[in-house]
Amino acid sequence: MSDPIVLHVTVNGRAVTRAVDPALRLIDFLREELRLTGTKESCGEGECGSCTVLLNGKPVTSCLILAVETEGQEITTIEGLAEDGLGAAVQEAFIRDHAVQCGYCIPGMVLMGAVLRRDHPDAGREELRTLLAGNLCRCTGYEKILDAILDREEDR
Amino acid sequence: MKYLRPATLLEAVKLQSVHPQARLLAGGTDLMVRRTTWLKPDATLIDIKALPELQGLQSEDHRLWIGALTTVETLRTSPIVRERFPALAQAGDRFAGLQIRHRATLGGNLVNASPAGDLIPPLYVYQARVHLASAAGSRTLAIVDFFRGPGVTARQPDEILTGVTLPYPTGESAFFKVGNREAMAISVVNGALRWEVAEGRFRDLVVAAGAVAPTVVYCRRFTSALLEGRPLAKALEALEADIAPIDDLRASAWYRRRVLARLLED
Repeated sequence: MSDPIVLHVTVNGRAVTRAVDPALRLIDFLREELRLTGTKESCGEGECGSCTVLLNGKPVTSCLILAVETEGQEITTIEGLAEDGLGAAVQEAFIRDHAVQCGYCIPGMVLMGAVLRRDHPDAGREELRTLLAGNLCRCTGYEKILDAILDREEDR
Repeated sequence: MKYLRPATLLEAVKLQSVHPQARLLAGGTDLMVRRTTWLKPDATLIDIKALPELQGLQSEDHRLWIGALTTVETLRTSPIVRERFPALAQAGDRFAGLQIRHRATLGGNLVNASPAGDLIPPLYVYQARVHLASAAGSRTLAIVDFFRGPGVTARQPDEILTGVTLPYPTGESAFFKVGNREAMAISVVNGALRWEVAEGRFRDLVVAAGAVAPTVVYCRRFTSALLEGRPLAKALEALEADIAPIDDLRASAWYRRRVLARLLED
């Protein structure tokens, strides 16, 4: 491999330092190096959203980012989201509303659900549908996923 | 692969003159999709995301400066862009999906120079100027002079696109796009218009169309016809000579002609 670069990042709240090949994608760094396999690869070209992680709090597709680009920054994966109140609430809603079939799109969907509840708390179903355009699901037809994102404890 | 991350524009242009074959990496949403074509052991990548000179929006007296590193999501949600440059904000609304918009940059969309680049037609109708910097200095070009062909621009290998300036426009403006999906779609036809109407007639009209020629084009024959007061049907005939669409995997030339005409009719 090319000369490795020492990378310092915060992943799910914990400081991580590793020597990495500059050509290593962020998704592979997370899955292979850190064994955080909750983030999935489906298309590898930024179209499907299954590789979604939060970079400095913003959802991005980790298959299009090199690990070395994230120097000094904060990454949250689906594993980290479970430790967060908002993330846990979204996960509970996904279970409650039967929004999961094969599960492959789900980490990305749950992450987006948490982001959308945080940043678009007043969004209606159609606006949420548009904001979820970057997340594909082949199983569910999306309706129960939308139900789950809209199904907030405080509204019940 | 060699990965470099300059901290200033000066550092970046110096690196570029030392590494003329190097690729510049901003959001990576085009470059990383086609990495198999360039990501090789002998490749050099210059990550320009840290350059402060390419960040941010700056309102000056008569114009807005938009730094090349401005992400599409920032552009789309910027109050000044939504209010003063609505066609640009609308292009952002139809651009890919949220995850891509958080990384894709204005500079990248321009330098990638896809004939279907969504941010480009709005910049045409707003008469934007493109700013380039190198170790030798800087220069600006009118947006229409920046594009030479699909994927080809006037940027020299030692230059970095630092931003664009847009004079605050008069009149109204809008963006339109047809793709094979409502989102996450490369445009089959896109375009922007800026117009002023007085007493039921066009006092000014500028139209730029994309994905219908090797670069985005002004539809000059179309707009001239309307400004001369000729009927829409005649203007649409004139439009045919303004564009040169091709058949590709997304749509045929015939379809693009029909759709553009209908969109402009509306």
